[in-house]
Amino acid sequence: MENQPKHVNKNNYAEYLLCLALDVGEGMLKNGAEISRVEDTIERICRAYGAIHVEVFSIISFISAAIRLPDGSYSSQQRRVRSTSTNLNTLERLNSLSREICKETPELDIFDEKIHEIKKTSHYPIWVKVIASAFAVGGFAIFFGGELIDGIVAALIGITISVVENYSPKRINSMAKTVVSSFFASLIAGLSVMLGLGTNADAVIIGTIMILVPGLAFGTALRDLLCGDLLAGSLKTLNACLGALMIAFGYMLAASLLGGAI
Amino acid sequence: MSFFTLRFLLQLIASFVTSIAFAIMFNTNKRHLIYIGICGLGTYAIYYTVIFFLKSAFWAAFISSVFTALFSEIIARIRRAPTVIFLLTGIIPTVPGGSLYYTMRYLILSDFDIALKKLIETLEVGLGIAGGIVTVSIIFGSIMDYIHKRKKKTQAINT
Repeated sequence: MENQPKHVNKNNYAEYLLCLALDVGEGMLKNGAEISRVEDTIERICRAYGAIHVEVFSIISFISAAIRLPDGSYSSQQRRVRSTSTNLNTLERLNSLSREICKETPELDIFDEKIHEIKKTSHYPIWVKVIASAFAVGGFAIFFGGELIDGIVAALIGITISVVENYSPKRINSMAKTVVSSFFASLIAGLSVMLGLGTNADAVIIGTIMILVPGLAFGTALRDLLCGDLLAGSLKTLNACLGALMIAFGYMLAASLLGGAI
Repeated sequence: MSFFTLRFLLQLIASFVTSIAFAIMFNTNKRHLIYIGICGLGTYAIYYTVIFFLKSAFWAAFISSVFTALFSEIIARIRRAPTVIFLLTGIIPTVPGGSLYYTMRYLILSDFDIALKKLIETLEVGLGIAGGIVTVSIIFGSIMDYIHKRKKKTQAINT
């Protein structure tokens, strides 16, 4: 929603309407909604405001939409979505906004204001997220057969990853981030076992992998494929496979550095 | 091996905690956290039970994700929130991170037979999870459509 056009022609009803609908759709896509939901939401909003013809097409990084109103006015707009993250609170609010809009169809100005309000949705402070990530990684290390001490080592790795994630510059390639995280996680896990701190390096590394998450991405990719979104599904599958490869790469670097100790 | 072990109890607690931790990392609203924890715990309990009795990773993933999807569809309707909030975070404990790791590990050790076996297991579980979710969303979706239509019809008759 950041790159919302500032000079939308408010007198052109079709253009203004489609712009707002795309704002909602783009916000949903950016914050981790399924492709089918994004397309569906844009179409519903436009139809609620009386569009007779709506065409929406979306993949993971792009939305294209066109509408025609009963008076013959027509608008076609595109949005390029550069980064996606999972932000369920914003998603929830956008979802309830679209439901409300479709029911009540307020003036477009009011609709516009409401979208701007959602932009200001509060997030958890970063330290809460860091602690959550410590619990996630530590919890999974214990889950996959580690002792308590392995859980603590894993929690430390979780903190490291989360700090890297939250404080690194946004422009750094996400694949590179995955390699670096996986490398340090494997290195710390291997070292802790060598020093006699941890007992189970496997559990620690698996805990870390769960948070670097190709599994989840793979699951949603398969779901998109099975639901018939072939293009989005195959792109996501490719992304998940690449993510897994990058983790393997980072792990391999650490393993060869430690001389096959892990 | 007995069904209830200390490890199982630990795993139950861990699945509850990790689901909530993931939910916080995904910026979920505070008011849903406890349900997400229950969803993750239930999912893992079912996964473990099925794998204990049937010894099949695919069916365990399938049945447990059917549970997760049903639970999240119902809770989402009760608490008026999108289903995906409970689904994404509740499914976390069954994500095949473990077998993915062993795939990588045996690939690096050049032990391709075991690596292939682990890779297939990873894909099986992934397919099971996706299959369960899709099954529920199709069935649940058509039931809701049916109820919706019936409601509209009776309303039309009454007025």
